[in-house]
Amino acid sequence: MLEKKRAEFRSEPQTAAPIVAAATPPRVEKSEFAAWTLVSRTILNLDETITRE
Amino acid sequence: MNDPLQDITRRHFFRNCAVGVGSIALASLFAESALASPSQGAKPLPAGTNFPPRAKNVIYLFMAGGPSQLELFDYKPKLIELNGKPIPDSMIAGKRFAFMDSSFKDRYTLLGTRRKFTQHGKHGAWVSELFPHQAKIVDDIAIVKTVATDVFNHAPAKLFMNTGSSQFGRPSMGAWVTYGIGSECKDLPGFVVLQSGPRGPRGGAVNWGSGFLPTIHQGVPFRSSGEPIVNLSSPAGITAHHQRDTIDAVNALNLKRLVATGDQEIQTRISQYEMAYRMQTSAPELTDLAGESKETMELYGADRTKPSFANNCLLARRLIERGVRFVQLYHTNWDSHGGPGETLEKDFETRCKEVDQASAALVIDLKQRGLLEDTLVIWGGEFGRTPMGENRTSTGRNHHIECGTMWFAGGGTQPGIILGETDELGFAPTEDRCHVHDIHATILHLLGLEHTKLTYRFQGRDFRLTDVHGKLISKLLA
Repeated sequence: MLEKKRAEFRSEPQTAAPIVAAATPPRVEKSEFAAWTLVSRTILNLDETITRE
Repeated sequence: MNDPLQDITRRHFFRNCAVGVGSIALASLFAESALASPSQGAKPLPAGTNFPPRAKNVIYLFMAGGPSQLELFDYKPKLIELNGKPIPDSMIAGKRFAFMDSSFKDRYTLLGTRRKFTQHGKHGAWVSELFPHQAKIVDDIAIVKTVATDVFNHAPAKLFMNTGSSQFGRPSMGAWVTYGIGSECKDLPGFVVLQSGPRGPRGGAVNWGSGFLPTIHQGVPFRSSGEPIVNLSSPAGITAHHQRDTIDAVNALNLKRLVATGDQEIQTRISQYEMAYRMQTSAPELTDLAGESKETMELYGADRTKPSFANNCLLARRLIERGVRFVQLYHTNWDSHGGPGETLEKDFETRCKEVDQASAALVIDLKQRGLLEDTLVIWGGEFGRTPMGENRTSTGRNHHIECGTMWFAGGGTQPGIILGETDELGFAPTEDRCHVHDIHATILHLLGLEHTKLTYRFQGRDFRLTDVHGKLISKLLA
């Protein structure tokens, strides 16, 4: 997922901008940050994350 | 319906015997698509049914708070004559009422309606002046004047009407139905709830809960304006392509977890993520009333600019057109005790105006479109109101479990009948008493389900919507 999204955002950097518009840390590439955002979204949506046991 | 995972609730146990159980979990996950595949040869019964169904869909207009039948459908000249007189002790001996014991220092006195009643339709049904539109559809509906329940307070009575039990934890009717026969809509939930009125119904989400059934059968509340479901649309920059990749990754990882643990709730989550993805397209299209003709909007009294019961009735038709199995509308507040905001005068009139036109319009519209045959429309609250007045800031009526009025239309019910009779004061049924369990048995019957056979094993025994009760009301059937 990370690699796929990284490649996508690098080839079309303008598509990363709205995703990271709220805040991008200094010295982090927007495309890199957007790729990690999507990975985080995935992890946070896992049943294992949501369901507390 | 024999889901091998039905008895599993604790995933820890199954983690320890992962491989075998996990493969069963996968088999059941894919069983659904096999069920849905086109069948060959002679016309089979629809999946899950016990006999040919008369109704495919249900629209349940739930009048939350308990509308007074004595101001609407149950005309009692004797009660008007005896207005202000004490109720005979013999009638109330041993009966219990909400509030009355504490708030009534004097004897209960009878309250005759101040509303005018006239007869309508081929069979001369009495309907009050407060329901001029519903008065025009009496030939298309079955009015049941003898609906009896067990519980006299709102939340438990609503639960009882929805689940057959006054305690939490049982599945609601919509959940039982989608569990029994599934839904024909893949892009929207099989059981959808719409709400209107000043506040939500007492009891809240358990009214449409799935209880011990898999949570996929739970009712999904839609908002009637704006986004139908909060946070359904994707954030800025998350294109359909990114969203698809995310859902695929989430589902693939959840599936691994399902195989490892056998927890059927993960199965629900996978299905619901797929559903949510499809709903990002289907839900906005559903709630956009722009495509409805001016005539239709006027028939319902619907207005795109503000949410209303009327809009919800129209949405209900749109939902069943798309194959949604069970749609339930709640409209509050019918609790006419006589206190502020709950008077039997102005507030009651306002409630009546809010629902009358659209309730009738729904039946008319469904009939015009040829949908009424397959759609059961139910109208009613959680209980009736007492023939005795209740004195608060004004005189209203108290909760009453002995009898209340509901009406049914379409879906194999007999049109143009009045079922049941109450005594001359409207206190109790004198013939054809229809208990909530009997109504449940009958609704399931219309959907092709034998209520004694629709069971779910939980905590060591088989549960039913009707528990150990319920008699088919055959007079209600066409």
